[in-house]
Amino acid sequence: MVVSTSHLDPMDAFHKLVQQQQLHQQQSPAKLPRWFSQNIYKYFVLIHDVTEGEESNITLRKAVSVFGDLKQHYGAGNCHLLQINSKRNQPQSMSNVNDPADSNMTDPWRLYVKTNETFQQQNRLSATTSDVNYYGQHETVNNSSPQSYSPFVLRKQGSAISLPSVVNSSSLSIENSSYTDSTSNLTDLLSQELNIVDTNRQQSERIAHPLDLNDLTSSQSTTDNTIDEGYDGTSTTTSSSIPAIVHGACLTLSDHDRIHVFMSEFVTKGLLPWVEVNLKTYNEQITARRGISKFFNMPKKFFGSTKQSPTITSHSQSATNLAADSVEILLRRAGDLAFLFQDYEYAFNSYYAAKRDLSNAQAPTFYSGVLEMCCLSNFMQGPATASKSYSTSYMDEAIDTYSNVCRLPIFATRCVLMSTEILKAKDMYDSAVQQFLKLSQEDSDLRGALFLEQVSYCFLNYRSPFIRKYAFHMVIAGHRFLKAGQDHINYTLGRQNFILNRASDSINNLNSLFMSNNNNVQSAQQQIGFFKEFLTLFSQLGDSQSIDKTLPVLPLPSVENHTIKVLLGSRMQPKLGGNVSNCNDFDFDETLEVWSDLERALMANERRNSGTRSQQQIFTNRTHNQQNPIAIAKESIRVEFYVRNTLQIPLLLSEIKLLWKFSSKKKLSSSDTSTKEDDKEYTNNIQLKQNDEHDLPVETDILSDCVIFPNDSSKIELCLRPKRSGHLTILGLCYRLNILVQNTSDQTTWPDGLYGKQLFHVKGSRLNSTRKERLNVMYGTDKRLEINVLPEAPLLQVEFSQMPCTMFCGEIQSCLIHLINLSSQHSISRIKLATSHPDLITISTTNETEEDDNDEYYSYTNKSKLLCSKTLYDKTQKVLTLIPKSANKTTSKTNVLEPNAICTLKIWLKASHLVGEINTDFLFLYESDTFQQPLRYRTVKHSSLFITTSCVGLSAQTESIGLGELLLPLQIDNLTAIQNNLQITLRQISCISQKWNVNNLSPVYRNSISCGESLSLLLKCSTNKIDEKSESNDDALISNLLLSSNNNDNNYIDVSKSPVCDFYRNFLCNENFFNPSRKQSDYNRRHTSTTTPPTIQPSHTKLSLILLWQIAMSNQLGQIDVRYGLHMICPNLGDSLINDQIILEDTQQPQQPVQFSSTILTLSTQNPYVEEQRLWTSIQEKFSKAIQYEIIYKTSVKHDFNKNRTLYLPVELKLFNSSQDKLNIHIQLSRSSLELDPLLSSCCLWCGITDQIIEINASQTLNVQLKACFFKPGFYYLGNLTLSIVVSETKSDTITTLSPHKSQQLSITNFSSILPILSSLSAIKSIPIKSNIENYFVDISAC
Amino acid sequence: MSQNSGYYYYFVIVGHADNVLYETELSNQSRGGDGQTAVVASRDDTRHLNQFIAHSALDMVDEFMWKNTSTYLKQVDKFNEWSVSAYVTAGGLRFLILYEQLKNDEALRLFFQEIYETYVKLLLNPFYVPDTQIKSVPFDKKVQAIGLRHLL
Repeated sequence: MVVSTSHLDPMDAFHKLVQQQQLHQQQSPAKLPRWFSQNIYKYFVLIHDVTEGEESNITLRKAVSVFGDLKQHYGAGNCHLLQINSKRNQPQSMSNVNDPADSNMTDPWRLYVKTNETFQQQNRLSATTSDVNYYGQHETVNNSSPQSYSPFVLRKQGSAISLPSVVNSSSLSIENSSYTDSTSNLTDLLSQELNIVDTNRQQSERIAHPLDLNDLTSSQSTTDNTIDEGYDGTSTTTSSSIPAIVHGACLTLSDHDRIHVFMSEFVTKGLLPWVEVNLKTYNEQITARRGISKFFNMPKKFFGSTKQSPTITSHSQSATNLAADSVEILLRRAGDLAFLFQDYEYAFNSYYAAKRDLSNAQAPTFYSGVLEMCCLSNFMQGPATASKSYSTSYMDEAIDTYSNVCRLPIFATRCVLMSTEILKAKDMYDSAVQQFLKLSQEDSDLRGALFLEQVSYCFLNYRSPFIRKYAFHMVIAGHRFLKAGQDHINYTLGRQNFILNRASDSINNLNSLFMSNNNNVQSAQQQIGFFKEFLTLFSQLGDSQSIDKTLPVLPLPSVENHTIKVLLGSRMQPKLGGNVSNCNDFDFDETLEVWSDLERALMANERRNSGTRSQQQIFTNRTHNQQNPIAIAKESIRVEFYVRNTLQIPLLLSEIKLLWKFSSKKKLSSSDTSTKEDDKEYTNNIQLKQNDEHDLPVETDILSDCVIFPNDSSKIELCLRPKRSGHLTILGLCYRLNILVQNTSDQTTWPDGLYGKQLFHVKGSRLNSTRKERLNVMYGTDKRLEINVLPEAPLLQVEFSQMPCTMFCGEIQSCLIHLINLSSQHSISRIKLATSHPDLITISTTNETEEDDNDEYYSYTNKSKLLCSKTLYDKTQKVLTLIPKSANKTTSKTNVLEPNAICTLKIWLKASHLVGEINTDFLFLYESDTFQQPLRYRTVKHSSLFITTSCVGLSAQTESIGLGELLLPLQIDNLTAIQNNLQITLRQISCISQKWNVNNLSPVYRNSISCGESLSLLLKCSTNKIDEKSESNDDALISNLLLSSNNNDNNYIDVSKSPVCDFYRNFLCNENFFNPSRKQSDYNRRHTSTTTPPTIQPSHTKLSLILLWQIAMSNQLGQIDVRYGLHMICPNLGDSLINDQIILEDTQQPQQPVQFSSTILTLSTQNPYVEEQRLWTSIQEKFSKAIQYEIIYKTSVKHDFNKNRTLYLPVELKLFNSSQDKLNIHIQLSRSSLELDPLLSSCCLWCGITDQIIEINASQTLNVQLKACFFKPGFYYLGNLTLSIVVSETKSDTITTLSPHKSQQLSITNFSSILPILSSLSAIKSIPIKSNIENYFVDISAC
Repeated sequence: MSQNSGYYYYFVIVGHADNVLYETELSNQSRGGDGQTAVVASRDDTRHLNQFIAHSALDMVDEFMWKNTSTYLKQVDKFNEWSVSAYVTAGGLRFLILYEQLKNDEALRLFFQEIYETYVKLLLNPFYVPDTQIKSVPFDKKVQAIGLRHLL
């Protein structure tokens, strides 16, 4: 107990200290630390400061008088007056020391303080994290609480601030905790430093201190009774002082001497006599008791064995079963005392005696403690001096007892650690392994893992290292470590770091707490705790961090970087109540291709400047992000991403906004004199004042709040708008983080949460092209967050009026498109539209300015037949130009979409004929003069889905009824799928053909068909007469047939007007109507030797029918809604009508195209015969159908042969040339049937010219009068008539010479189209014509 | 583990460079009831441990084989509930067997003896390169048969 002389009443202070110590000791629930014994040794020190100036004499006198009182009161041996210097800045006091202060005042603690500090960290960890087991601790002196009461502290506050605290506390601890290990340690250190050999000490410490530092610590932290509370306290005080302080700097050399004298006096006069007295009393008590206890224990020994078993289970922690003054306790105490003062032999003997007397059953904890100490003291004696050899079994028994009987795993752990250290020191690794393994199976994963790891190291230390065992146990240890889950370590490390003001380390530790892989282990409650700690820590660190103005990086919630999506352009709001183009935000891969295809189609005809880029509007993980996105100033940039809450507690984010960095781009063209403001880099990554926000070049939207539920992720979309052009980089996001806890009281602790940021990390797709890239994990650059901002430009918004979603097949609907120029400054010069289904969409030609109602689907005419110009066959364009770019300036005003202007267009949509869902994509492309490189145009995308249901089925067959007339049975079905009462009303059938004219043969009594019904019509097509008049005219004739029952109504729908004609045009396109490609026509043109233009307009033999129908259906409001639709069909006119096209196709066969006869010659010489044959047959086939004929005669004739021996039957042969060429027909009337059919009685006999060649013009009908004569009644066959088309080559000499023998059948034809082919043939042949009707019979009967 | 839960053995022949020449599992639990399927399932969880334990036991075998005159080394190692017995051939190959419970120590010796004989026969095959993996199907069948005879 230390009191300074500057205290007003030192005696009173001493008195109070003693009282306080006793109070401490006698507290009824004995607080830790426990005291060694009732009457601990007290030593009283009066400290006197020698430096108190010239008046020191007075004070010294006072001190001496007080000291006298002290000696009287507490005994001379127990008191000491220590005079030391405590003031640095008083040179007068140093008068007795002549040497310069610096040399003298070397830090005597220098060597020890460092070690102290390292110790301190370890100790602090152990002290604060877990309750270090003071349980079995019998003696320890608390010196921190007396210190707070001691007057010394008062004095320290008053004057002696610079007094070395170590000295203070050490001296304090010397007095107070005289028996702790730290005392001996410190005294030892002190004496060593002073290099003074203390003989008395040497006496007391008969054995030189064998413990090195490690052993010391292990024994300190683990020994039963030597927990170094005093030591720990010392070091804590040390660290609390500023580390840079020079310890003991105020001590003069004389002070050193005085301290040394004090110490030796304390040890020799005070401490050692006390120890000796104590030991003596213990010995006396033991010997006295032993006799009695032996006497009493005799019966116990006889009967004790039966009583043992119940006690084992009953007690677990009853260490104090024994009376406090029993022999065993006394022995133990004596042993402890001896052990402390390093009389290990005596200690071992007492422990051994205690061990012998104790039985395991009585007090297992105490017993194993004794065993442990027994081993320890044995070991400490050293192998040379030990009376007994070290026995492992003691330790084993102690460990077993601790772990199995007492269930004190901490003691067992301590015991194992100590024992194994001893065993390792003794090279008994085998036993160490056994002991480690004994405890490694316990339920504590962490300890088990640690022990297993130690085991594996032991295996390595075997004489022949067990490497495989080492590996195995390492693996198992790793597994256990993994299972252990050491979140709490991070947590405590974080806290400790925070206490030490190591902010970054602390945050790192806490951040790792929230890493996702730990979260399965942590409970929600735990996480709330962690989070609270995290928040408080951050809020306290906030001040120190705010210097650099950057926000702290938050660990929660985890931003899923791969989901970051950058969208250019804001979400459009409809201005006219329609639907805004919807496809600008989609990022499906397949659609991306669709758009680029459309865009390519749009730009196909444009001359493209190099470097022109289309504006990609969406950037995701899957897009190619090698190029910077191009954004337009004053337009929004949206960033979309998912954040994941990996915790078990809901998180609340508020005030979320994007962090960005903006720099105005340096213009290359302009000189470097650009103002500095332009080059300045802006960012909102720093905390800004409120008024600064307006000056920033980028506007940032703030999302007010967002809740993320546990183990859930939620999408966050943030928006910002650059105000001018430059380079914008999106860095990350910042937000206020908080947790949602039901307990409102918790919430109030952090109303604001924590404001911090998280940065985005994007990486491109993994590279895989080069070998290096394949071997390493390399990622491509990803520039989706680095955005080039271009100056302001026009922006087009496209708005659709309500689009139908379900339509009948072939239905026609109108839709309005509003084109809105959102820009307030720039105009859009040209807008083009491409769609994925150009055949189904057409733009109304009607001017929208005149208000025509929507019901006006068709324009009407009252003519049933009208001609339409060739424009009907114009090839449709895939690209529709909505606003044409006009060349001259006068019209440009009307053709430019002015700023803020709206242009409305009407488009017609026709449902496809295919049932199902059809997605139609619209791509609008617009250009403006203001666009600069690299952005020449911008696009708007829209996609709409139509579901088509079947309604009308239209099918037609053709039947040639010969001679240029066709029967066209037409069947119209109502195919509406479900049972309903919808009536399809047929309005009109229009036929468009250059050749054919349609009449209705069937009566029209009904023009509506219900579900499941069908309507059959029979149409007759006849050759158009107009055709002949204007042969060169390609105009098609449209003949309309009204199907309404009301015949008076002559209101025909004008098919040649929009939209029907547009769809018809599309339809023809799809039907491949204009099949002859340009190449073919070129070919024809070249090889036509005649003046007749090539008549390869095939449509003039084709015909197409358009059926116009309507369905009246009631909509949801009950109103009648009339749906209009049209179906088109191109009936296959069959083989009955040949068209040139087919032949021309044949010429396309490889090797066939005959350019010149000479080439053919060479060709035919190669393989003349086969080639010729093949070509010939194909021509034959086709040409045989070019001519139709029929024979008209009376099928049954009655004739009186008696009257007239011969019957002359006039037979009319009608020939019709359906081809487009003038042909020569060779008519041969043979005598008999060519096929010798036995059924036939005979053939007729022809009379008149039996062999003639007739020339027949194209599409000409020719009547040839023939005469058959019969001589007797019978059934005659008239088929012995052979018709053939005579074909021959031109009068080219080369060819005729080639085959002179066959050129007798001359022709005069001008068969232009097939001439070249035929001329190539070496033979002139005639092509037989098959008859349409096989059986020409005549029944001649006699009257 | 009760007595009637059946036997389970992991048998491995280890070559000179600690390489596995042959390994197999011997068990009679496939025809077990419901209670045994649970045992099998729990055993499946720790099957990977078998090789670990056997490998680490090699240290012990290497130590024991010089202390022991006989080729059969009895139990050499134990990890938790698993025991390892070993047999060292004259050529220095090590047969290890891992088990939780043993039917009969003598049976195990016989088992090893017969395995050794089978192995010697295999060695007579000129196409078998010593100290390489044994892929012979008859050998495998033979081992299973011997195991069935002695251990199961």
